[in-house]
Amino acid sequence: MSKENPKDSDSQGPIINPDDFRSIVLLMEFENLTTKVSIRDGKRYFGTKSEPLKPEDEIRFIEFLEEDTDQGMVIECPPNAGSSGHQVKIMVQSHFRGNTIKQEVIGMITESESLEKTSQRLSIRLTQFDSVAWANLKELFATRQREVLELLQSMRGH
Amino acid sequence: MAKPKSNNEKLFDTYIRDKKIVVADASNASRAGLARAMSNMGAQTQFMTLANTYEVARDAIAKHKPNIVICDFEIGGGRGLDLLQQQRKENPDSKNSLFVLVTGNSSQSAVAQAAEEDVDTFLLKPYTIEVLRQSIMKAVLAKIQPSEYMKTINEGKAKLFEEGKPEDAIALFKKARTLDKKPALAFFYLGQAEEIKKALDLAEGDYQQGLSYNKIHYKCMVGLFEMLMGQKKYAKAYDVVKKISRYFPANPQRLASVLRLAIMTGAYEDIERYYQAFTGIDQRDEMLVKYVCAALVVCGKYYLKNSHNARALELFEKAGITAGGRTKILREIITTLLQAELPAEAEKYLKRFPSANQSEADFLVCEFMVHSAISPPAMSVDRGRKILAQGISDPDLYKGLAKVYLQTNLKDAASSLLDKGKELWPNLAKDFEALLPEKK
Repeated sequence: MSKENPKDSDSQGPIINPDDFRSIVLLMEFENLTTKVSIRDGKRYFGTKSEPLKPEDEIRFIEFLEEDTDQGMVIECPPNAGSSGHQVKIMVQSHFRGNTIKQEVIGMITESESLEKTSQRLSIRLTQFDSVAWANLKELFATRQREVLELLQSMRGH
Repeated sequence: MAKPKSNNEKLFDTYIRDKKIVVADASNASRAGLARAMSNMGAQTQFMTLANTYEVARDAIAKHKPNIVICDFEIGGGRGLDLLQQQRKENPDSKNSLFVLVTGNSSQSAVAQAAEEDVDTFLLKPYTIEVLRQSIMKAVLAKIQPSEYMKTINEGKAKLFEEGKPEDAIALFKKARTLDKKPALAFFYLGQAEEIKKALDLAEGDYQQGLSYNKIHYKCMVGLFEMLMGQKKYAKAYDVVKKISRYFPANPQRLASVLRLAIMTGAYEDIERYYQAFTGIDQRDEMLVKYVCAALVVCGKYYLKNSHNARALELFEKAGITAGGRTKILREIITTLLQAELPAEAEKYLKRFPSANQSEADFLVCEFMVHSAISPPAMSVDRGRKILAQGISDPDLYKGLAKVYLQTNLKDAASSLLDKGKELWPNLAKDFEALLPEKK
């Protein structure tokens, strides 16, 4: 039986499904191994001191970088988090549909761009990471992207 | 040596190089990254405008009338999808405009809302440049090189919605039917055209024919649902909307329809099931909260009317909790319980009003009505007069105080208040007249 012509008994699911309102949750922590500055739990830490960050200063994962065999990422973080050449450690935890992927990666900042003095855009080339865990994270988003485009096409009718 | 470009890539290059683009995202890095990506794809930076808030984006769209808008699902101060409406208004030629969502919101509900609005593509963050490029290119090619089927449908849509020529549109949609093996979309638009001509039986037939090719064609189901609602065939509409909801993810407006229809068709047990599912939703849309509360209150009223008081009180309790201090809902519950002569139960809901709202009309009037039901009339007269003296003008206050005046034999005061009530709220004149002493 094709997807477009389910059997009448194939009611897909409940009429209100709380899962429909859930997005992939991404939690991130950042540590600059060169300067010893770290960002986690809504605070910036330097040594024993810490200062609270505004909610809009959370770390955001913008882009997966792939160049030949190199893996990397582009993140947005508060200003003064790092500069080109710095070594950084990033914890990435994703949670979706009951599955959690947590991993720590180490990389080098290859590009740092200050944006309107309120944030930084960092391109990071990964140097130490679990390639299987990283591939799983990429696959999580790739799969979800395919599902999204299929659903969009199905609902648009073309 | 660089790989030679394919025909599609060349077409895309030609398309993108002179297009005006607005990139709207609250995240600095995301905006910068998307602008850079578009530039690398051939867009000209002098034709690009970046917006960090909804207001800035809205102004940029009005000023530049961009061909392409790339935006996040939520952008500081507003919904990205509202910008789509604006883009369509500023650039009605849909063949030349593109709307792309790029967002970290990967929920089914977000996709459903985007699909309802017919966005061109929906991309998740974090993305890869290659996925971004391929998706945008695919969306562009679908616009500039549509299939014969889609081209004919688009021509029909222009005839129908832009030129107001349904007969010409119908001819085109009928032609489109022959251009695809499963022309459900052509049947959907045929149905739309027949509806505009008020040929509702034909329209229903078209939607059903579309569904014969694809049993769960979203647009055909929605077309059928909306038509049945227009015809007030609520039981049939309820069946259709339940089917839509089973196969496609929820969006708050669709859920509101489900709840409304459950009430209208008396499917009260369904409402309780929906409430259970609703409690599992983490982020609740304001409209959805209001509809769920309203549905629970209506359900409660039904059980009160049928003397199932315990059941009714359970539902009011749930509505009271879900209301989260929303005063109109609490007032509705209190009013209902007082009408059912359950003042002690009504009194419990006074505690649910937030302290910040306790100097406002809803709370003061509710408090007055509850105490009128449980206190001696003389005390209620004083209480009511004090609230009036604060300048609170509310029909329930006027009616309630007039009743208390009559109970304490202050007929002139009652008449005067009721006459004033009739002046202030002429649409409620009959209610005030019914209380006038001469009629008793």
